[in-house]
Amino acid sequence: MTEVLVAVPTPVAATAPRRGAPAWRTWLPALPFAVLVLLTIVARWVVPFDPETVVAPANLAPDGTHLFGTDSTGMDVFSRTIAAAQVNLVMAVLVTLMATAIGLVLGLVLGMNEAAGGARGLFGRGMTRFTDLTDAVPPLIVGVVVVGLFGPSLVSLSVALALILMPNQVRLTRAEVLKVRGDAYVDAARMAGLLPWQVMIRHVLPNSARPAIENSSNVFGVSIIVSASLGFLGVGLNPPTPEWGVMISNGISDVMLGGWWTTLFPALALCAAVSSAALLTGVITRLTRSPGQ
Amino acid sequence: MTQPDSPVPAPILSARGEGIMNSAFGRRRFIAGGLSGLGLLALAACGGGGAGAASGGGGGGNRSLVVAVPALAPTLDGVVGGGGLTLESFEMNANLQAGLVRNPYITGKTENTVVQDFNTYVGYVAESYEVSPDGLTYTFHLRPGLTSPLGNAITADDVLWSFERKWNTPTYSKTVWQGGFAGPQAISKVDDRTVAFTLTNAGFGLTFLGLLANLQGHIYDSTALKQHATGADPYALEWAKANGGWGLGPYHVTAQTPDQEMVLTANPNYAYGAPAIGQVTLRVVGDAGTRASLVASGDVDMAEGIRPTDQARLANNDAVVVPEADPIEYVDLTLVTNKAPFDDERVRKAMALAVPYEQIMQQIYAGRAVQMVGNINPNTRNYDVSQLPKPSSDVARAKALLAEAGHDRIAYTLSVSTATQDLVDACVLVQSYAREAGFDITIDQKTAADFSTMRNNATGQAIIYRNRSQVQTPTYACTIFWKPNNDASNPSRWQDASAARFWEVVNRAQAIPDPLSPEAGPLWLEAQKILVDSSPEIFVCSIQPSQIFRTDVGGFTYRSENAIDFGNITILDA
Repeated sequence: MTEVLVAVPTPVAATAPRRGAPAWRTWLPALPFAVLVLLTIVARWVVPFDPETVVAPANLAPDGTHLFGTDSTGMDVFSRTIAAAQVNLVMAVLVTLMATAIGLVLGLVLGMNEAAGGARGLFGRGMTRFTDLTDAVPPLIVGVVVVGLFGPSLVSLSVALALILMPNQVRLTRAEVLKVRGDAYVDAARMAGLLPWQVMIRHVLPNSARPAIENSSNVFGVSIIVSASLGFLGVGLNPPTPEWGVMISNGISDVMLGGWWTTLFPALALCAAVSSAALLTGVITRLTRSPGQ
Repeated sequence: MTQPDSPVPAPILSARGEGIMNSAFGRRRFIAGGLSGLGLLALAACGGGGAGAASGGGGGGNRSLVVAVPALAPTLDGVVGGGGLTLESFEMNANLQAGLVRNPYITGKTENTVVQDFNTYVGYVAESYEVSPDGLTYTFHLRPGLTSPLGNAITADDVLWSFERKWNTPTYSKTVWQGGFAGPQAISKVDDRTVAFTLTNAGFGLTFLGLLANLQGHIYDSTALKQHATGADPYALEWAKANGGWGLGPYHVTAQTPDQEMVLTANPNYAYGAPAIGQVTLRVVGDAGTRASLVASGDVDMAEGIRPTDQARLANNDAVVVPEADPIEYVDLTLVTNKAPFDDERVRKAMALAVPYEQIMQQIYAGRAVQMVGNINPNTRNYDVSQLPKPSSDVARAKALLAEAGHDRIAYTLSVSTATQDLVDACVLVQSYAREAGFDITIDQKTAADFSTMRNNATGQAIIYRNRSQVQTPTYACTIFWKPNNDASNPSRWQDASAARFWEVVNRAQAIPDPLSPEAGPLWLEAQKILVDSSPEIFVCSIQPSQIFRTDVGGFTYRSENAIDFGNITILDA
């Protein structure tokens, strides 16, 4: 008797919450991030002062008018902290999208070609080793070099951060592709006459993307930290663009002699943004895993 | 003329190093204290002994001094070895080197401090000097028995060889002398202790002395340098970058850890006698606020590169001295005239009226800056600065000038170095206030190296930086920054009709043998009026000294290059 093999693809995303858990409990951890996104959208309209203009005497301590005080030039720290959310989060979204997109494509190509013979296999294996090697380069150095070459703009900083954070996405996707490419449904697709690229796009990619997508919120959080670090190192956006890293860097000297407010509030905002991204990671993980996984 | 004895009293060791808890910073500095502690740990880790642990040096008193500095000079041979015009290099020059003459020190505004008298020069490596009746020959008599820290006798041959070394080294800028001194061929040895310099222009004499007194004119121990010369490096440039002892200043370097610490040991053979402080330790503390708090807590004696806002915060601290003087360093907003929009004099004048001078002095410099009128030292003899128009903000007039030039609004890029945070802040103020007058400014931060290149090549539209005249003579102030023919030392490339009128007046003033005479004064004034009116450079304000120190430190010297002369420092009685 001939045995008939039936390929059953793994579901890409099971959106149903875990059995027994109410939907609101699943979504609740995403609330801080949603608030942050909302703040990003309305930031420029809700701040009491122009965040890029001198509005008061320098170094005023927090009071009723300037809730977070003023900085060394006389700009309102509250307005700048809120407005910086826009810059930092837009940059983080750009970085996450770029890093994940490039990571998925590269991971897919490398995973599918690594075991092949000839030049294709050589390329696949070589690129995999190269991706591993990039881990040895400190991310901040890459950032400093890219900004040094192309100048401190939102685009150049985003590209630099995407390059820095992309290798992890490549590795996650590649590892999944290596598991998936031998599955029976992939063989079945090949035997059904699909071209290699059609197999990759239609069958391998949907079933290999989940780890990178889950990790994207982590990339999001890390990109905020690294962009702030670049700003702290003095290679951030040009002044007076509000950006948390630059604000912390510029205010750090004030802390030593009592001017704590110029650093504390952007630092808290940075912590809140990264924490909310971490919470979102948990939500995405729960939502993308099928029950029982 | 004979150099008087060093004006500093005999040193008395004070109680130093009060604990952080006793400092004027209370509990509300909790966070600051924690960070300060980290800074102290770093200091301890990289420095070895504590603040007062250093032993006496060579021939100096048995006292030590610890100074928190933002950085160390990359080379000990600053002016010849390509060290750059940084504060660190200036400080090396002021303490490791000495010239034939220098400006005498006179009592400063702040108690126990001194400043330079820029109208006179006294012997330094030379014991005395004479000027010929025609003002063209300067004869210097070297101090008898003077030796370098290495023990080599200093003679007329060292003077000749020092200038040969300068002139034959490509990195040395000879152009500062071109107003009247032709180089080594204009120097003659009269005897072992006497040298004569011949000038081509008597009016250059005062500036010539000023150059001899500053980093351009230092005299070296040729015996020591020749011992380390090679065929490929006949002036021992490589050896001199990292090895001390060949200069004749009050100190020589005896130890250094790059980017961390440098130890200066007193020169027992110093021209003015061994310094009171036997050893000076320069320790790198990167953050300005941490440097300030280390002085406040008594963990270091002095600190440099302190932000004016931090100085203002420490002004009422009884343990700390925040010195004041007639400031020399100034904020220079240079409008590059070789391209639009500042090739139009009316636009430059409008910009000069759009600068928020008062706000910058109060907000950025916390009141530790003063209005600057022209760039000639206001204390110059027979120069009446009160006749120059004072800079002021006037939005209505700025708009009118822009309209006259055919503009409603003008957009341009203002470049600034990331190394000068106060100037980045000043840019934000200029941007905010000048908007009302019709200027839309984009601030462009550059690394110090990129900024320097931009300044030299005049590739930007406008740049802002700290500037100063090394030599405080009207001749130097009027000639150093506006040289024609696309000269790199002219960052504004000011070469229009106003510049021609300016040079015509300056040349008339230079033709007068005594630049401080009553005849020369009005001419310098006229030249400055043209300069200020045409505004290729806007003199925003001059800034008070950027150092602070403990109250038991005496003899602080405010000098034209803003470097501390440790040879004049003493520890005062408690």
